[in-house]
Amino acid sequence: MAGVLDPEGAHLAALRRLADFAGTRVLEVGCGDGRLTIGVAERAASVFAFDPDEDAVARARVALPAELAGRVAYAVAAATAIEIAPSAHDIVLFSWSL
Amino acid sequence: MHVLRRFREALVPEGIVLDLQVIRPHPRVEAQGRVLCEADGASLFAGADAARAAVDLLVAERLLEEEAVDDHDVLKHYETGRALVEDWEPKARKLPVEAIPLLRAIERECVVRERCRLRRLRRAGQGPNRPRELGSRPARPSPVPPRCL
Repeated sequence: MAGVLDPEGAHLAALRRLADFAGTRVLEVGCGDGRLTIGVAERAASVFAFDPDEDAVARARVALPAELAGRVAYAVAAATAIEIAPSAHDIVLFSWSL
Repeated sequence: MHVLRRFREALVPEGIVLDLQVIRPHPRVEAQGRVLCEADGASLFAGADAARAAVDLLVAERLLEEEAVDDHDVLKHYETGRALVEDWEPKARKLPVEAIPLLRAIERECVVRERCRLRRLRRAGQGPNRPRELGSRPARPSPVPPRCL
């Protein structure tokens, strides 16, 4: 049993205190298993989330609710290597990934 | 080029960077509201300090503008002390050796409390005009007190 991280939702609550994701295009760097991605995507127009951990991204894809599938795209990639279009996102979220 | 500079370029003018990091104090192990021990979070802080320095550099260069900070506690819950010890064995951060026998004997829920900081920064350096406000709310002080168990 690996433990349960932040069932209280403290991280997501903090994100929502500091940013209004409604209608935004979000780039999440270091999404892991998508724990924060889903909460962000509930309000964002789109989320592109990636992480170098292939297993974690696989779990994120499985956990993604069907109703969010059209707004979220996951990728396995390293921040140092991925190609990102310039000026294409309203918010960049670094989740312990800087 | 540091990744922060790369991803700043991915933002629209006036776009927002949100940076989530672990901060001091060291993580604390608690059970039933009582602090049992303090873990060594130095390995966490090394990366977080480097990230903070990278952000601060771009702020100093006026490529980012810091707008708000939110400090909050995050808990990781374990069914037992033994589960906590086993989960932490491969981690870079370490439990104090003298506390491990005690933790292994705890058969009730244990939590690890970590302090985290979220910073909101706005892409700057693109001229004086702000075409529109994106995803922003007014800055306010950290509103989340430590949670009592």
